[in-house]
Amino acid sequence: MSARAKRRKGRTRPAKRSDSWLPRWYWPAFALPGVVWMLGLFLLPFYVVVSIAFGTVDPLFRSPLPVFQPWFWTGRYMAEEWDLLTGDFRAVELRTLIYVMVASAICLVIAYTVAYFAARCTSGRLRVAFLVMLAAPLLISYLMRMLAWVELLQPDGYVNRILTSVHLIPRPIHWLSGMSITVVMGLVYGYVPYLTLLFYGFLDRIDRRVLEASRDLGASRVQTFVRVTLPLSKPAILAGIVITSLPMFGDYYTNNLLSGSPRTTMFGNLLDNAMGSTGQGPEAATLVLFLLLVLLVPMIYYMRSSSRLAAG
Amino acid sequence: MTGSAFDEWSLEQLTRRVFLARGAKAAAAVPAAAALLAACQKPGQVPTTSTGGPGQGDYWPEGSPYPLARQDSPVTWDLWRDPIDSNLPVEKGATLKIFNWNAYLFKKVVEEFCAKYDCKYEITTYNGEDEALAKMRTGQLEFDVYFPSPDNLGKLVTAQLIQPLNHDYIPHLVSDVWPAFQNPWYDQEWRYTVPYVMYTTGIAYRRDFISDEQIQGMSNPYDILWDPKYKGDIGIYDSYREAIALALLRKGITDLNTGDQGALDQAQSDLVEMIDAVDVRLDTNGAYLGIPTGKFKLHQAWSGDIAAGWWYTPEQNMEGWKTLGYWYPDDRVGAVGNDNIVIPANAEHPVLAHKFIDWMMTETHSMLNFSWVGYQPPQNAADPKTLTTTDSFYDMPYVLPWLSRAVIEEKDFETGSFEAELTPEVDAIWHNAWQGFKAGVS
Repeated sequence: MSARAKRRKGRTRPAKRSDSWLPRWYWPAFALPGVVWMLGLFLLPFYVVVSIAFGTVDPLFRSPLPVFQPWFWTGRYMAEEWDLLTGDFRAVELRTLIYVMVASAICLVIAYTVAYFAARCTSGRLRVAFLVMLAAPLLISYLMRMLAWVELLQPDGYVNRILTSVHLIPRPIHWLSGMSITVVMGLVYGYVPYLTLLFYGFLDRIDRRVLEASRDLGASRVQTFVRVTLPLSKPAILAGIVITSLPMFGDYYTNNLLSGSPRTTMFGNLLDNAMGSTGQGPEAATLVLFLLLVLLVPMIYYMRSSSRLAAG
Repeated sequence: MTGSAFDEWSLEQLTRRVFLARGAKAAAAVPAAAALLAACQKPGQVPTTSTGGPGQGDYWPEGSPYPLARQDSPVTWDLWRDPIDSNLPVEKGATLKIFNWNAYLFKKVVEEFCAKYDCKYEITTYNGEDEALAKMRTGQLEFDVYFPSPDNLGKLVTAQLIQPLNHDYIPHLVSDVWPAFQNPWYDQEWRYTVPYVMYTTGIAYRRDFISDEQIQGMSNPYDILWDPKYKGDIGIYDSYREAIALALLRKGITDLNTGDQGALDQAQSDLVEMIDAVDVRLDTNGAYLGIPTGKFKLHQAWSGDIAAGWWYTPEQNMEGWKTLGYWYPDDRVGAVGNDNIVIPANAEHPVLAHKFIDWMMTETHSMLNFSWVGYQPPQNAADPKTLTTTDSFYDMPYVLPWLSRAVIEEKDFETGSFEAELTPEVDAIWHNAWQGFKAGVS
């Protein structure tokens, strides 16, 4: 990516010189759609969320009533919610963090291995077949894939039938009765296809000559992987963590479908609950802002490290 | 130049076109000015109305824009406008627009209605009362009939979103429906509503694992939902009102609108106890789907959910149907409720809507709807003594004989407790208890 960007930069410079008759605003104007997009679909909605968090509720319908004038803002709901966030909800926050970390780690290992195999050890028809298989899960909606698991994991479902018939477990396990492992598995299963494709695209683009050079210089296969391939795929791994973990933090339906027990409540469930309750609009907006603040830390880290990688 | 001459001149110049153009500008300026004024005013203030109030009732908590209805303090809603005139012709070639819960109305009943009144119909569904209210508030969707629960009535009348009914069009409410619903506590003189269907909230169970005698013989059958013997097989509704009401009833508290902090704290810790004791799960389809399919052995259940449960048993025979059981207290002191039918204020076809309401209050149509929906209408014909022996449209008893406790009697509305509308303060306590339970904090 970085090399490509450099090449592109090199190309535009002489072109610009020959286009010097263009008005000065010509090239910056290309940023306009992006700017409009950001303003209309991010900044404005974000301000509405802030206005709801600091706002109030409709006196009659008790629906959230955003207060757009900062001088009328009240921190009442926010203060109440902050007590919960630093008190009762801490167990949920910790649980969410652990689930997401474990699920992301498993996702990384599975996706990387599969993508590595597809990029290195396949060619021709086998590769095409592999790519089709990797993309296939994306053709089915997330919800449908989770509902399929609900059927498989029933007490008399196929998973229990197979496990009991080969005597791995003495009696059927209640997979759906609030087991953390089921929820983490659901998260992994839901997000792994995105990651696999991302890794495949990246690993496939690593210049083979670099690997050959490493082998020529005496490195073993393992050394080549550890010292060349892995460091080169660092940007992909970072991007992968961001792509999978950010949506996982807000995920609630995986948990709703595969558990439904308060024992596995994640942060997304608290948010979903507040969103769906009359009069809880400001509370829900506060939870959104809290999640955003927490997620900003890894986001900034990601942006800084990827820009550092791009720089050199 | 004298003043009068100037005026004459200027009036002459003010041609119709100019006048229209100026008018348009002024019209555009008025909302802008209103918006500016609104910006200077703090949002969320209770508007001071000059008309007094939207209704009369004994229980009018401070800060509430309208009186709250309770079984022991009924509310009479003021008529904010007159009902439509009597003897109006039914709108011709209309499309009856129905706004209802998903799967809560037998289409055959509507089709028969439309065949008689030469209309088409269109059903728009919602999945929650809040969602429905939000849509109603936009005022852009002109529904003809809508099915809200009694606890939303205050909002709907105060915001003038529904219209009073003209009783002349609805003779069947008087002739076919239980007297209790001809003057309900939430809408005295049934000025805005007619009753749709009713339910009790009890416990559904699998009779192939738990016998009728076993659960009926318990000193407090609610305890069975806390019994570790059924760990992993128990579910309750994902509803803060129903779940907390269950915990309150178990402790013998029958005021399901209580604001007592101690009782609600206790309810929260009782619910949390369920997490470890029985691996309780929360859902919305656990009773009508989860019990028949075997996902649960015990589930909190609305009577209508279990009465319609036979649709979903894997074995479509007597053996399969006999697995379904329902418990509700012997003394009939438990949770009861009903939904209503109303006509939105901006209904496009109010006469047709009145006719439809009367259609739904008529014995034959109401009972046909019962066959499919599973929720019992308060019909005189829905005789509790014969419901378990009379065949419905599907050649099955309306209620399977061993589910006789799911049958509702008129007096249940005296002994049972309603989940009515709470004040914002009390509602906040309920929500806190619920959130605490969801986060697993006792």
